[in-house]
Amino acid sequence: MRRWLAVVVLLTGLAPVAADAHKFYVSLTTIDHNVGEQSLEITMRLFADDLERAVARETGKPLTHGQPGFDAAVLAVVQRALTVRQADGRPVTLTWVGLENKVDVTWVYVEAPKVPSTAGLTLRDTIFMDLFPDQVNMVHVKDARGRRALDFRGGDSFKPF
Amino acid sequence: MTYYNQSPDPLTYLWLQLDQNLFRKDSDTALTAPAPSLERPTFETLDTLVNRDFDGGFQIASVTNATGKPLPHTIVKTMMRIDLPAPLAPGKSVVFGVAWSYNINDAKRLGGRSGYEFFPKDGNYIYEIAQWFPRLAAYNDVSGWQHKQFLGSGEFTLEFGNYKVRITAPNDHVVGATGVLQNPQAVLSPTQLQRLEQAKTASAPVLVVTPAEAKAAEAGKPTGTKTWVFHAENVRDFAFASSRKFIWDAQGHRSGAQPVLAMSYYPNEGNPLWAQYSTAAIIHTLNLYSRYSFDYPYPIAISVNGPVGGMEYPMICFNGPRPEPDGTYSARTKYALISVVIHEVGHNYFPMIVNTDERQWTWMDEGINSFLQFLAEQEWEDNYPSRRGEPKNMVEYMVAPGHDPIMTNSESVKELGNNAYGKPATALNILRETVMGRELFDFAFREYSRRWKFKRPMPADFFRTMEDASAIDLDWFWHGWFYTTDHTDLSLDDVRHYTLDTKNPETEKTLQRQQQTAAPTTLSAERYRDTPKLVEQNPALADFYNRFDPLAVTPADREEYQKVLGTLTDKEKALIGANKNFYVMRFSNVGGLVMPIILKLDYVDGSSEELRIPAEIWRRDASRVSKLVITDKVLAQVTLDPKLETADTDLSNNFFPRKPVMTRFQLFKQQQQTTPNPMQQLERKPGTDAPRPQGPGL
Ligand SMILES: [Zn+2]
Repeated sequence: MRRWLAVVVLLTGLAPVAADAHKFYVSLTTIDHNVGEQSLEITMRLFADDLERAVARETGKPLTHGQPGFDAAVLAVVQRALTVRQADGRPVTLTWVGLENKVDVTWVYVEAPKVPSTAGLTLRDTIFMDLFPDQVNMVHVKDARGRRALDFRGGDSFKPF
Repeated sequence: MTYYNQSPDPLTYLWLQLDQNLFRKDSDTALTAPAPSLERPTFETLDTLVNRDFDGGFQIASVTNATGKPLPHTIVKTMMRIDLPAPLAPGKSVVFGVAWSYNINDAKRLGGRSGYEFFPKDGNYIYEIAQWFPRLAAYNDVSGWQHKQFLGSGEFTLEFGNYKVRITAPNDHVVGATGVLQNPQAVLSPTQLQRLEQAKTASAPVLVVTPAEAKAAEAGKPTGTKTWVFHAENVRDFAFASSRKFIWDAQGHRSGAQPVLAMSYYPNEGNPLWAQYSTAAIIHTLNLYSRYSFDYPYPIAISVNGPVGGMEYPMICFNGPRPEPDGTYSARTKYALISVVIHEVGHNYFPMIVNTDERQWTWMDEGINSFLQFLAEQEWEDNYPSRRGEPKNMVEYMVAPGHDPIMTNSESVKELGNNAYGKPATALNILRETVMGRELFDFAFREYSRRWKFKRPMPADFFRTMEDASAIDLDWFWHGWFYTTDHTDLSLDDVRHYTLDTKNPETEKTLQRQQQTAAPTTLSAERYRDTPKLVEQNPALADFYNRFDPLAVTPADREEYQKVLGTLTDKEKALIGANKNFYVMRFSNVGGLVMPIILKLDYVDGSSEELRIPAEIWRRDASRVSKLVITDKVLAQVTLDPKLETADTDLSNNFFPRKPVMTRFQLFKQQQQTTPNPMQQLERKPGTDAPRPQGPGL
């Protein structure tokens, strides 16, 4: 099957990033199933500069942490990139909890309410893959069955929770 | 090149590294690159994928002997073998020459550890040039030639040598390099010479080329060339940087007996950050690293701003962070610059002098260097936002299934940043603060550095020296932290309280009565308590047993006690009278990693104390252990790892009695639901996003 690549023009004139010795394109997401709340509690640890680039691409203008519209743009970036599907294929809705900026790392918190069980869930995390072809996204999931680690690279499809 | 065979083996051929061949279109790196993501690619991504027009790699024109006769040679990807006419005996030398060229890569577009950056605004370039000549591969007594192919991640190891390099550049360029400039009179103006002289004894950086002079050079054109001559001794590589955009500052420093010139080269785009921090960070690094290892042995230490984000070479390193075009900068950029300068200047010690092999073991220089970087950052200012070093920052990585042991080859490691930088830096910090203590660790680490400087340690040499100099058996630590993917999760399973039976009826019966009173009352007993009872209404039904109190002290009890006392020695009487509390604590090792057990004991009287039990407690059974604690006071709470020293991944089993522990997510959510503290309110500027419990635009 042929798929069209959706190309989006970068309006911000940001310089491409050199793959240097000490920059690694890795994000880490932790998803805990909270049985009591029947929700997925999602914590994403993202490099703050990567996130600002993604936000600039999302909104077409540079925005930094604390500026109006930044949180909304982050949510849009996250909703586009992190997809969790129910057994029947319906995507679960991710809602905003907040974010925390720790100098070079930004912690983003979102949750998926109304998830009574993780049976049959699948997920995919493509965050920043549009910006950095080498991006690797680690996802640690934890539920009643225990802990598992998934990793997503370019072209990876959905994986079971 | 003159090659001295310092090995005990006759050599029939030599291997040279051709690092630039990484950029060939048919390189293993290009052929084995995983498919990139094609989700909404940016034009820049598409450009680098589609327009693979860069003609990279070395062109080797000739390889000749001392008299100019060609030497047979074979290129194998990023390596070149030169066959010698006769075996080179131990202690002998051979002279040969290589004529070569290569195209310099656009480092901003294609990446790489060196290359050029173009500035469209003024039409100028910054060149950071490294891994630029066929470099002699290392020959060692463990594995012979180190000629693992260069795939991009495993940086390199090399031989030490002396370099004489002549660099001919446009005559308006400023050139900085590994080594000492031999002909300053020929390439610098009298003013620059005088400023450089003044810098040697200055207490702050002196501008050798000012921002205004750099700006003027940007607008001008060269009228010819100049040749800069550099000599460097006992270095494992040679790199340089060149641009007409460079501002140049310098400050003298002394490392033991060695005078050092700390220097920074940066364009106007680097200011105000670079003028304020680069050279200061170089000197801070030399001070700190020398304290923990050995005096800096080179006369020069340079930090350059250009296209490369962060990369180290002897005496010179390339560091990327820059302010915004308007001259403002975020805290992130500021600390990124200070941290990367510390890191890359720190690499002079590890691996440029302690010559570990990064082609094989990234952690041996990156991990050890990240550890010292953490110490340097913590001595820069209070609460420096270090990315790596604190045990609690490593928890998420270590608890994940499927990660690699630290002892994994550089090219095969997933998550190199966590694996080869973060985890070993954390391990060494724990070794220093928790396992060995600062004094023993620092002594042993200094011994490792001293013993292996200008030599080639292998992992076992590091492990062995740390034990050799400290008399601490660390086999368990190296095994768990470096060879396994276990994580720390110790559990305090339960605490049982025992007291001595004193046989004294006054004491024991009072205690029994207290226990009886404290015992739970059943629901029926509670409901019948006030119901009128038949025996109370009709005393005729009462007898001895209704009046008998089994917990009352009888004369017979007292007599019995006196008899017992009579059989005890004074020492035994004192032991019984001491009134000690005996606590039996049981621990299990859930995560697999053996660690010391660090306990905080909180007593009911409000006092507390710390108990540190070495990891040897696990030597017979690495899964379950127990510990007896005898105290005068009664315990209220026991906490395992109260100061988060051990990277324990699950704190919910660290308390007895148990305490609920919230995840990062739950803590954040709870905090969001309370009002912001005064500091948050003060720091929030008008018109910025307030923390919201609910999402935007949903
Ligand atoms: Zn490094």
